[in-house]
Amino acid sequence: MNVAHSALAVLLLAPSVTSAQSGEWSTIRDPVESPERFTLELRGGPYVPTDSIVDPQSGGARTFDLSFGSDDGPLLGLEFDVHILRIPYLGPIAIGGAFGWVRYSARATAANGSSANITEETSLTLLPLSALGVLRIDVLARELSIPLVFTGKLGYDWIPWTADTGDVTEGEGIAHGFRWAAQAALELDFFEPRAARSMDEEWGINHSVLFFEVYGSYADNTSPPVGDHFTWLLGLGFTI
Amino acid sequence: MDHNLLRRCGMRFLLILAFGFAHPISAHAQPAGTLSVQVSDIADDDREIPMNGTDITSIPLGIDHCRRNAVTTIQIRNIPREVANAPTVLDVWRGAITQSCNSVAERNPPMGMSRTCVPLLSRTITGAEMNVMIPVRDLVNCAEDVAGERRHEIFFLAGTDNETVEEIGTNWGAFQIAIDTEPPGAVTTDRTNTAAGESQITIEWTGAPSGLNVFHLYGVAGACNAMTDPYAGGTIQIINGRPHVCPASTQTTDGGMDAAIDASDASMDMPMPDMSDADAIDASDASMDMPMPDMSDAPTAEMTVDMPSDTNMVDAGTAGCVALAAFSATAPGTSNSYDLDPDELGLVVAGGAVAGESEATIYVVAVDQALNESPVAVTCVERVETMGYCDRLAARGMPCDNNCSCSAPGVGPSVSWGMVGISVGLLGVLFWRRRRGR
Repeated sequence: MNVAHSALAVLLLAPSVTSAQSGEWSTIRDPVESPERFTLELRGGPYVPTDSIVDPQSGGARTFDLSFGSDDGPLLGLEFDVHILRIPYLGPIAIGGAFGWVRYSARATAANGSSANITEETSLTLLPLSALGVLRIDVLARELSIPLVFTGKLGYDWIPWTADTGDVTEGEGIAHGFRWAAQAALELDFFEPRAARSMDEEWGINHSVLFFEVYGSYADNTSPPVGDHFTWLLGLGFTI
Repeated sequence: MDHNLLRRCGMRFLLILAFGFAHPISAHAQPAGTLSVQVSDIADDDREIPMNGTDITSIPLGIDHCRRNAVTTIQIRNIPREVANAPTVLDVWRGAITQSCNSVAERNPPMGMSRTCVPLLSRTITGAEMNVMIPVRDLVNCAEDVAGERRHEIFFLAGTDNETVEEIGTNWGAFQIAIDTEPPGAVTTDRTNTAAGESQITIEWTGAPSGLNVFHLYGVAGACNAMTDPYAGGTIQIINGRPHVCPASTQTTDGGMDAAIDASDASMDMPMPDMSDADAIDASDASMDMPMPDMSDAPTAEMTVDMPSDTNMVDAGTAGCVALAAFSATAPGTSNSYDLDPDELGLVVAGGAVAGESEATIYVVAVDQALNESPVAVTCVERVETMGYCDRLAARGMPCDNNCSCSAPGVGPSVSWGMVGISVGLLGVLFWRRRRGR
């Protein structure tokens, strides 16, 4: 009985095995990479308004530092870019938008300078919104297999802000101004190419990157000025 | 806010307790009773007390329930009628959580010393369904001076004769209830540093025991010295409907029961032989003195005592108490701070143009799940003028303002229009690419 079953199985399978041996192994092609349409970035880093308002009575210290000490955020944010054009052998041009959140807080001080145990908090909250034009240079990664991507961004910031002390909102507004950024990114695909390919096939994520970005914001047209003229951030990006 | 409102306002508590065919008491295996017991509006309590079958012990009653002697309403259903030897009397007994008061042996132990089943009342059965209202001081043993939580089981026995000698078969029902009259420990507040602020003052405390229900905070405006405050460790009492703080000397050390109970007024709460057809028992009648049937050797028979009403408490303990009507608040039981608005206490900024009190004394009380209140912890607050970020900017001539001409050089409206141009250009490229792609 078992012998008969085995013989039947060999007969049924023989054609397909023969077919495979006759050339199907050589006809398997690399899967086609899905098109790149978007970039999503999750980001965070220090952000301190470049407040140039100083207090001469405190040795020229900035009012921001006097209020919030060394609080530098962090600013947490998200950016989403839409690829509109790909320049051959250079990379995509995109337009995008970003938003973030940062809050600074510290104990208020007694107005008379006494050492009273003030439990009241003073705070400044920023919600930066950005419109960006993006040029992403990925020729090294695409053509030379060097997993580095460089990006330049120009745009405009609108930064709603709120200043509170205790439960009183002492000021609020929307500052706006020019914004620039330069980014260097390391593509993570080379660590695990199969996993990267799998992410593309299953999720449509072409590439994932770790990036470092320096940038500046000149949203300084309100009091307080809330732009940070030069700072940095780290993030994780996905090309979709 | 009125102190009573803190405890009694809100959604009226309703408990539905289905019981009968599956009596869950496992401590003493016995046939299940067939009477269905439904408890509603337990002790006028607005807390939503979780229940599990016939077990409503997860949140116990407390000293305040005893003090108010609030009434619990219980509906009894499935009382056998229209049968031979149908029950004519409904007896209510209270037992320990492990005791089966539905058995004659437990109700009449050979040695009276071991008797722990206590008769509460007796009613003439008027139908298959009856409502019974029982004051808290009958439902649980308020006078028992034991630390921690105690549990009782309340039995409803349908019989035809004297409840102490008759076997009632399965014509009974029961539910479990708990009481905890031990107050939580006092929290620790900072008595040396006065918390200060202008629009908000944060009051903090530590050392709160776990499982609290809420914190109550009370305040009174005026000069404050928490280190010498005579009410530290005292109690909050409701006098003429207003919260008062009273010195610790009016507080007993065993949980406060003795302070609230006047033992000289103690009366024996006995089963009532015949309550006629009245559906409800008036709470004021619940402590009627009745002859005790065959209980001469029962030392554990309940002593319920008449606790002083609020009015009596005024007479007994107003000496040295201070009204706290100026401010009261409630914080969640898991919190360790409260943000006080100085306006709630009518405080004015110290040294300001407006005359008035700038300091206040704050009393913090922890309240456990049984609504027992801890001794008070004292701290001081003061309203002072503070300097925040905008104040610092204003001091430099740059008050917080949305319309400021303080842009960085070269950045401003011209850049705005430039960026709009860039955006329009990018969009143009996008459309051009799409048209070209077609």
